[in-house]
Amino acid sequence: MTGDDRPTGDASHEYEWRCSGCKARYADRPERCEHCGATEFLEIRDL
Amino acid sequence: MTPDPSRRRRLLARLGAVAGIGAVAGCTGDDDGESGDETATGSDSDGGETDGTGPGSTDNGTGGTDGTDGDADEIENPEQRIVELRAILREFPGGYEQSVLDRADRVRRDRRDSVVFVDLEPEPVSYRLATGWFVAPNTILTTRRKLGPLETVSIYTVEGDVYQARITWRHPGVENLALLEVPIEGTPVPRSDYATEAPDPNQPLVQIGHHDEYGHWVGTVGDYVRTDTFDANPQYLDEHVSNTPGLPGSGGSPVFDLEGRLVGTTTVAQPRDPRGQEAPTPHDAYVYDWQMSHREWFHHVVADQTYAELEAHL
Repeated sequence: MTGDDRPTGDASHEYEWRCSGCKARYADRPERCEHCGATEFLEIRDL
Repeated sequence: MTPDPSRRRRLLARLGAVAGIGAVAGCTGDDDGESGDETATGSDSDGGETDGTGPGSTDNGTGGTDGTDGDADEIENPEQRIVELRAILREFPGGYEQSVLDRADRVRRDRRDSVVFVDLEPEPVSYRLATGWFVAPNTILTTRRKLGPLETVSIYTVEGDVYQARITWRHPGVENLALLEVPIEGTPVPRSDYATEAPDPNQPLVQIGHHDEYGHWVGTVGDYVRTDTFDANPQYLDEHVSNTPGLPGSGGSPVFDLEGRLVGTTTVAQPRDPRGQEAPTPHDAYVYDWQMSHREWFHHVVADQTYAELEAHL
């Protein structure tokens, strides 16, 4: 299970977009996940 | 906090629009707070999915995908939406029977010794605090993403003692998990007694954690609503989703069922009505009179999978 090279967004309580296929994070919602190709994203924030 | 009758009426109307109000009579929080509690044994008399892999899986809420609460004709997954609305109704005062709250409080008292406050101040990281719990006598599980480049953090036990904890492991992949080593013998959450299956829909869950503005070792109760899975890799940890309230700081909190069995560990929150890429618009239907945290769903990495992930490091 690797993934340190994937987009991680900024570490803050702001919402990010997380890929629903592989948990990769993005500051802005992409059309397609760079890591797994999924197109579903969930808006989340760390607690 | 006072009830908002108009808000409640709207929710009941939506429930009626989804499935007929008669189908959920007794699940509105007025008089049957035990309805979800009794499902801990695995019974599923309300027709909901029991394994968390049904219609709700990887669905972020049928009413929330388009930035609206959704009218009946927009709802893609009515069964899942009913579970969500039942959970929301229980957020109103009186939503849970006192017997449920008493059991939840017993879990809080029985398990809070296992929970620590992770103090990140005044270190140069974006967060100030997190929650952790003893997964082994000298080892605490907390959230990786809060720790930044730190090598040590301060932790407080419920007795008020403070210790320096060394960060011994960060998950090398996507999971938001890290382990701390502490120079004391804490009280681990009993590893022999964790939930091996997903809760039933609307089963009450109890979280013990630290909330930025609210307090410490706070017990909060909410309903299980679904389990999200991640298809890219079967090893990615599933996440139970609930409305057990959380605020910044509750990341790393253990979540239990009413039997005191570990169900998951809190990681992230998602807005119930995501704006997405749309321009912001006023939300002027009413004045909020309860915590804003209730506008989110909360994710908890699944207990048994988390233990399996940590196995080599304990």
